[in-house]
Amino acid sequence: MTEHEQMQEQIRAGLLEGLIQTVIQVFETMAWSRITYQGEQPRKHFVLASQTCGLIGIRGARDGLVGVALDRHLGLEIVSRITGLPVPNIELEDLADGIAELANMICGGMKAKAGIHGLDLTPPLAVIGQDATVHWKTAHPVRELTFMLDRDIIRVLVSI
Amino acid sequence: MRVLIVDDSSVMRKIVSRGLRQAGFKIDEILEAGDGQKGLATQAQKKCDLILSDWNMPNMDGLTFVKELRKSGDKTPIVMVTTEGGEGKVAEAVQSGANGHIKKPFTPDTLRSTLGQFFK
Ligand SMILES: [Mg+2]
Repeated sequence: MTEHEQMQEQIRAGLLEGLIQTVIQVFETMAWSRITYQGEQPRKHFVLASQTCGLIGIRGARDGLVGVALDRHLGLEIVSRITGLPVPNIELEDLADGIAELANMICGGMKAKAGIHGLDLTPPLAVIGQDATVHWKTAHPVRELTFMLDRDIIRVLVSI
Repeated sequence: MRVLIVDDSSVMRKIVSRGLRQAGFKIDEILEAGDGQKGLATQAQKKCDLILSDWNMPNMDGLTFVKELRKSGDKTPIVMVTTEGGEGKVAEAVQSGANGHIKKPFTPDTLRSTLGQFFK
């Protein structure tokens, strides 16, 4: 491994560790939801296999993409918990805005925890639909981190 | 006591507004604005006692909002609500006239300890 590769590996590991911690922290502090980390698996493609997703690009010291994906009913429930709005009152716009802000807080926290300078985050993008495949030009493999909230799965896709 | 929340995300405005109430502050009215420009217009009309502002917003971002408000001679305390703890950014905002910052995600406790000094 060259020195550059070693440094990149350090950044990658730091971001991943920060990401896992932050996902748990954001759900706990903003949505009073205790979630547990289940582990990670390699994925061939960046497919958001849930209906409510927030995406954020990373640029600078390391390039990458992070996606937070929840099933629609869980997305509605989480947005309801963080805003105080009852589920039936949540419009599509609130759902998209809520999942985008969730992704934003998670990636901001990841960056702060990893303590890496020269890393820029893009504004969040919300994807509401089913099985969106995201094409993203980075050389990094895709991993899927899974978390559980009771019986629901929270998927965090990451190419970093 | 009147509070102005400036954020382009309506969900985030609700989160902040709810957090303020949960923190137990005595607030008469919470006003909202979707960007810096609207924030300036609302503040000119309503003269709030405390302003909480987001950083990234369309039309006018949080930093420009702080600068413009101070340029107009308005000395109302402004606290930035940011996702990242970018120290450089915070320093720049403080230099431009912001009075503090809160990092998202936050708890009602964080709001209480950071904002308590601004409530009479
Ligand atoms: Mg914003």
